[in-house]
Amino acid sequence: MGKIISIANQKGGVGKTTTAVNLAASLAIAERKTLLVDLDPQGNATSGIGYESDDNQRSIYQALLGLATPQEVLHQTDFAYLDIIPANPDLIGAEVELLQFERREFILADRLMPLLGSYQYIIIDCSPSLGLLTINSLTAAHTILIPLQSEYYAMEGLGQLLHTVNRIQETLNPRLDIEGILLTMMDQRTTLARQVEKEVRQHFGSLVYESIIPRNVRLSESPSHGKPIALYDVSSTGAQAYFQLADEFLRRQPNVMKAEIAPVKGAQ
Amino acid sequence: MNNLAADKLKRLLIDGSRQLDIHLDPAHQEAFMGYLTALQRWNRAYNLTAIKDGQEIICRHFLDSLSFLPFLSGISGSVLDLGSGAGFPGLPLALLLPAIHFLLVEARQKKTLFLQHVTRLLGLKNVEILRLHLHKGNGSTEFKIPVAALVSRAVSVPDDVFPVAGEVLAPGGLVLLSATASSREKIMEALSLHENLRLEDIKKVTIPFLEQQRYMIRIIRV
Repeated sequence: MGKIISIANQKGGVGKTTTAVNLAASLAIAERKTLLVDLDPQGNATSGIGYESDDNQRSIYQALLGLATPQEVLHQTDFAYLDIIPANPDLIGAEVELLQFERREFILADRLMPLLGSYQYIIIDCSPSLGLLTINSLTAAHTILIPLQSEYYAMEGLGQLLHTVNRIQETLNPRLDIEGILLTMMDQRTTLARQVEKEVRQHFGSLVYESIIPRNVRLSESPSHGKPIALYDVSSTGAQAYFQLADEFLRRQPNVMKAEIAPVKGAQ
Repeated sequence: MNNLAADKLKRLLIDGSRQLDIHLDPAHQEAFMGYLTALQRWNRAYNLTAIKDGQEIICRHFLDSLSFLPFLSGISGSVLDLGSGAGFPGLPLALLLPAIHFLLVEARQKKTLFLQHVTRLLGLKNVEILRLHLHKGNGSTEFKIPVAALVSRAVSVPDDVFPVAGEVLAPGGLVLLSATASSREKIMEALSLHENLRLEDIKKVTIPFLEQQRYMIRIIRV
């Protein structure tokens, strides 16, 4: 059975999409069958992985609304081990349209259910809010991975996020666990960044990944080329950082038997 | 890897290559050590080679790859490394033969990405990496043929090496396969089915610090 990891933080610009795209790509390079789910109407994970949205009505929106099956909205990527469920601006409407559904917090969980046997990891890129879509993501997820920008206000808002996680654990999804906290956009030359790192580590201990994602020009350029950093510049410090993260991420996982993973049908 | 261990490994590399009559200048030595570090780092998450230990990598990968070198003297043009894996024998050879163009063909993405990384790391300008499952019929469409030589190692000699060789080599072109005693038998058997390939000779090769005997099989495209 696959593990669902929600990449979430209601703050914008903290490296959620970069992390979702590049962690997913790095896991795929490590030959772990991975699915990236774009749950942000901006569709940046979709374009960042190189999938060109063609308005062909096969995105996460159609799956959520029940207009298409989950298998019908799967798409292949440049990576043999990575598929994507793309997002486009249609998704903006979903936040309101889902309100009419019963069990509206469980819709994504229900939609992903039939895909769980086909993937080892399902990575969900959330939008920067704690709205219904993000609640759906946290309800579906086994774990949440929280990117934190290494700056002065890094921990601001984190309290609210952790409170939300607690509430979801108590009500909608008791199994939800914290996968880890990832420091991103680190400028290791500044003492401020080092101070922030120290503070975050003091506060959250081993939840914080040893791996740190640096500020890196190549990393910020890669989305505009529609490529994860591994394909844009495999030797950049950004790529190396995400490889290291994937290594640490995998080391923290209990072993998943490859044999449990069946080939997915319907990806095209 | 601490400095002491790194020094010891470098010593092993230098001594081993000397036994193969190959001189490594300090830049080569640094390149190999960088390659070793990158391979060990990638191996942790990406499992590129079964051999993980530094000493073993130097003997079974680096020195084993370098044992091809004397057999490529006089070659000009490009050399195809079929099933290059983590770069063996192609990358060590490309490092020491900068005038020859090396074409590394490998089907698995994690390995081609690693090859790109090391090629960049080592500043090699004479290496081209192709992610491709090379088989009879597609070689001529994916890169410029003919190539001057095709190399591959015993552990990874692919089944379709001979059909591919027939296509990508010009008459007189060389196939160079390193084999163990048991893989040698299999190779000879497969070769007998191909009339356009002729066995030139088989030479015993001793890889420094390895007990197992290796054979370098030279085959000519007729």
